[in-house]
Amino acid sequence: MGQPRKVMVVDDEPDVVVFLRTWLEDLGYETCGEYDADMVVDSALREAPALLLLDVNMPSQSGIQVYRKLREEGPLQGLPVIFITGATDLQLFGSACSPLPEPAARIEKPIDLAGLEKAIAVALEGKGQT
Amino acid sequence: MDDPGDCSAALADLSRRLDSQAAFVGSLTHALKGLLSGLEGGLYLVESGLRKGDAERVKSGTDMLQRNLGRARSLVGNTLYYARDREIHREEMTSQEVLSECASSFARLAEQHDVTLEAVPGEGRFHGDRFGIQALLANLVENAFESCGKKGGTDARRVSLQARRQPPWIVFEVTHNGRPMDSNTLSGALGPVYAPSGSDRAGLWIHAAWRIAAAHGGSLRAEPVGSGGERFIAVFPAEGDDPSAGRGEEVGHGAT
Repeated sequence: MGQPRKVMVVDDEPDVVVFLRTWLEDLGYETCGEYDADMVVDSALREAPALLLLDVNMPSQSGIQVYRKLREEGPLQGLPVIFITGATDLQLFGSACSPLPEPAARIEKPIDLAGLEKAIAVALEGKGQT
Repeated sequence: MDDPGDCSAALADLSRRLDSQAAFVGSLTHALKGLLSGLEGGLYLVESGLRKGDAERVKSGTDMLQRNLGRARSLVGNTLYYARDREIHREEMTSQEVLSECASSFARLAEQHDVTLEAVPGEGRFHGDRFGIQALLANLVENAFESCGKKGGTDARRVSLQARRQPPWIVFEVTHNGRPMDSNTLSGALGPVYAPSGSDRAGLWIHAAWRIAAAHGGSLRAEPVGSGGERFIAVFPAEGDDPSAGRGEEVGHGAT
């Protein structure tokens, strides 16, 4: 077994962050969390996660805007991102994000943990396992 | 309604009401998804905590479940008032218990978002629909947190809840130093019919709060404060009767 991979959970709902971080740690991942969309890029640069779970609907800026910034920042351009959000947001994503690369996956709330676990494994595939 | 002009105006009004209801259902669906995630999270923490014999995790899970049950109550309150005119079921309560419950349910969110949340309950018994009052305050505090989140910068973020008796009224104030709601959204939300544009949700929940205040024979308005931020002022008849002094729109002007 290699080094645990770090997954960063971004959601303005603290309960979702606590829930997903606990679940991920039970699966053997290292985790970090961020509640403030404005701080995601800085936090990601500091924490150097292997994967980002990103909420779309956040107050200061949307997850799509955050995703755009991540793709513009040199060191974070290749960071896999999984969107976790509501169906309406996913519909918005289709048009709002069209000039950008597809995210690694999109998971709808309420979260199907089995589906998310698979999506995480696929996103990290080729970069070592936990 | 023989006049085609009247008919056309009635249809336009009906159309706005339907737009408003449709937007509310969309927003409600989104809120329910967040609520379900919170309940699932709480359940996961309790179950896994019990399996691992981790009492701290179990406690964290039960706290999460309680918070999200509170959110469920608030959603029910909003829905009851948004869906149709609701008969008010008044009961006696104190401003202290209402504000304490509200502040307690937002304490963790405040901590995580680095917002200082203070509650100044004042004094006063009053009669109101507990579901409705709790939902109204939750809507205003959620909006305050969102506004603080949009503020940016490094200044301290503050949200304060206050209540006071101003016979024959009870007055609730929620003040924040975040980014105020834009004036178009605000003027629409603080009125009888509100059809939000696009994905605007904040205005919808403020409108739901306005409906709750109006159903109680009271009012809800907003005013700017300081160099940024705003204060929402909800005024209710304290005894549940219809006071002769209107709906309290003028109560609390100039309050600190």
